[in-house]
Amino acid sequence: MAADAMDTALGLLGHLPEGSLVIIKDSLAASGSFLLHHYISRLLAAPKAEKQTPTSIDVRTEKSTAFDGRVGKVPCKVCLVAFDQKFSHFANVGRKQGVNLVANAEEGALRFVDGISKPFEWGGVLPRSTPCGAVETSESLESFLEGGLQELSITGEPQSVRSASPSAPQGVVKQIETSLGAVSDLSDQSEAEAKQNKRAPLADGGLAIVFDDLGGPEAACQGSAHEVLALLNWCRTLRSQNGERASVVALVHGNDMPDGEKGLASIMEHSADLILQVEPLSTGAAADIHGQLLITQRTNKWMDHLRKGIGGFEATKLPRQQKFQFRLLETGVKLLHIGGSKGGA
Amino acid sequence: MENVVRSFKDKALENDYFNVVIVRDSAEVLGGPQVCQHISQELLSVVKKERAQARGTVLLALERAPEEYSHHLNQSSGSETEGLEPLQVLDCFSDPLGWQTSPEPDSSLGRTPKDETNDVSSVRARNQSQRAAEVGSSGQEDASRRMSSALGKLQRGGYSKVHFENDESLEGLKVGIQNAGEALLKDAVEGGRLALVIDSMSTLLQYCATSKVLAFLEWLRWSGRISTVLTLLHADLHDARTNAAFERLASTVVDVQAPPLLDERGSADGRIHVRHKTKKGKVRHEREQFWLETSGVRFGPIERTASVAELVAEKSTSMQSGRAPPSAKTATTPEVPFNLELSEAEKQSRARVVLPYEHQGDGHEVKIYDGRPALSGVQARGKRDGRIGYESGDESTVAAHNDKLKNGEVIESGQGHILYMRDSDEEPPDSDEDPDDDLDI
Repeated sequence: MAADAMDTALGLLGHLPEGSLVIIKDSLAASGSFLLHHYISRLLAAPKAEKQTPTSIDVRTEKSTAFDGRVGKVPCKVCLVAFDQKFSHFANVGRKQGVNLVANAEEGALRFVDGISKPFEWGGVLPRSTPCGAVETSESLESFLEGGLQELSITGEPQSVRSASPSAPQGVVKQIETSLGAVSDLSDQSEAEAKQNKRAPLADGGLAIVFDDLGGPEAACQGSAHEVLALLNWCRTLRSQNGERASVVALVHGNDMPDGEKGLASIMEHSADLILQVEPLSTGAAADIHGQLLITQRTNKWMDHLRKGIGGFEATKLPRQQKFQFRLLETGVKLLHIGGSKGGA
Repeated sequence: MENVVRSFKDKALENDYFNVVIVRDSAEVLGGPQVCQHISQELLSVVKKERAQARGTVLLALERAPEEYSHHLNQSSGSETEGLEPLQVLDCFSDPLGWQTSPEPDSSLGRTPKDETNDVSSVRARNQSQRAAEVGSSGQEDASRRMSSALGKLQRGGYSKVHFENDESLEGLKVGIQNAGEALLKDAVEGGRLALVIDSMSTLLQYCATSKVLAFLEWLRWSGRISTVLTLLHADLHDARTNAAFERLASTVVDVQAPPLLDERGSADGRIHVRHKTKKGKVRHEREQFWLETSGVRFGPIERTASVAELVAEKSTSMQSGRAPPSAKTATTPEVPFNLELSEAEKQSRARVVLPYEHQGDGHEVKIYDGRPALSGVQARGKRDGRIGYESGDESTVAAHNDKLKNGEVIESGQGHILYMRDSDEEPPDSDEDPDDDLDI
């Protein structure tokens, strides 16, 4: 399966539709983090030469070449909220996939909100219960994790907002706000310009907020899923400079609760627009196939996106559900049609 | 679907009937939100044409951003009338827990709430120019803002905001609905009512306890201002008790189901099963299939002949609802090219057969051949031939039976025959011993 066809299947047609929620649901048997890396690198990838003035002829050429998925792809600002891996991990994987995350962070296209180095700062769980002791714990952890904090400095000043909020996701909200505030600081001069261009949505690729593990905030707010839901909702109401609402990509572990209770993943599934479910092979391990991927479109968002967005896609009707097998490669991932040829095309 | 749309035109009676439409789906089934949206568009057009008792619609956006609904609903109503939409959207989506509007004071960590609000709002002002106008930065504005947030209503971006934190009795939501209702019914005649669309009851249930939500619905019923409530419920997220509570409350339940696996035509994206309870208590069932299309949902009748699984499902639902099953014949017999039915004559002769372990003589002694010489010694004759016949109430042998057949006589004994053939003469008689000889039914 060609790389562009794969991106179409994954909903990566240019930027993500505004306000959309992509849920990557994995399990212990098959990790879905490879999709996160794929999304991050594709959203940040910026074929700058493709930008064209929209004359009628150019529009036609856009239509004809639209299927290779490169036209209309505009750099998207990404805010990566990490609860599972450190920035160095993402940078390493990104480098293999051909995207320099460090350079992107310096340019301001990528913002990194660190949820693991200073867990009690974003969480605010301990301050709520034992205010005095918590500060000490937090400080000792701070010094313990100093190595990690050094790395963070590439995203600008270290996040010094100590959460005064009673709930954990609220702390995350503050961190994201501070982080994104820095984004608009960088481009204050162009803000008036951006206002003028509000009618042209392709001028800016919009804003995507990527959560590498929703289990972090869920655990921090003691398993109350509604706070995590509220966090994601809040993220989707943020607006990028072109006035579009931000889209959210989040990884959630789909293992069911022991007592049959519906976990966070089931709740998230209902509010998601696109669900990517990563499953192990039912026949067990295989040498060249690492698992299967079920892609479900729950809403019409992508169809609407195609309808009003990029020409040339109109003819395609995206199937509601697609199933692929995937193979993990050093440089990324390859999707294969089930029962397809050996090695896939 | 017709019944659902017709029910929107029903009048709610004073303190009595009000129309609750629940669309039920689960994570495995696609199309629940789309079906709900389709129905809400129908509702909106009925309200707009003033065919319903409701004169305005209030939409609670819980699961999706309010912008998405206004976009869709405007699209559906088209440009036939340029007048004001009789629709108010309450934003329960962007800040359901009141994080932005009411920061709690926490001096132990050295930041006053005022600092924080200013910080947040200034970030927001830089970041989101649209919202900047509404978010104040001076202390006075701050105080008034917090007051308005206590009422659960904060105008931002054209949508009234509602949040649920520390709001056990959903007062903020009630106030929000009342305010929206007042705005909608300003010009309406006295006694005008509202239609309420809740885009996901399940999300509301995430924020509040089930009992509170049910009490809220009761409040809606007795408020006398609401004629119709339309909502979507994700059945798989709740336990059976919660689902049952909502089912009881509903006058119409639209179950969204996956298409059957072995659908030969295979084109439909799913099916709906509508159970509609009329005002008088009659229950109507309706089944349709639907196709999800880019422009919306298209409904159509289920055309092909019903399969066994469906009929069984239908039978079970009809048994649950106390309706008589359609007919025993259609319910049990699949359509096959050969005849499984018995003719009348066959049925009669079948009915005449007396099984060997049944009581045979009315008041006579029960005689079941067990391989041993009969006490009366009469049956021994047949046994010698290696062929054993038995006719109840009368000593007759196979030979006699064959004779009768040869003569073309019709056996009119009133009862059927069962002929037992022994495998071979070498077998000792005991091998034929009936294991059920002590069975006496």
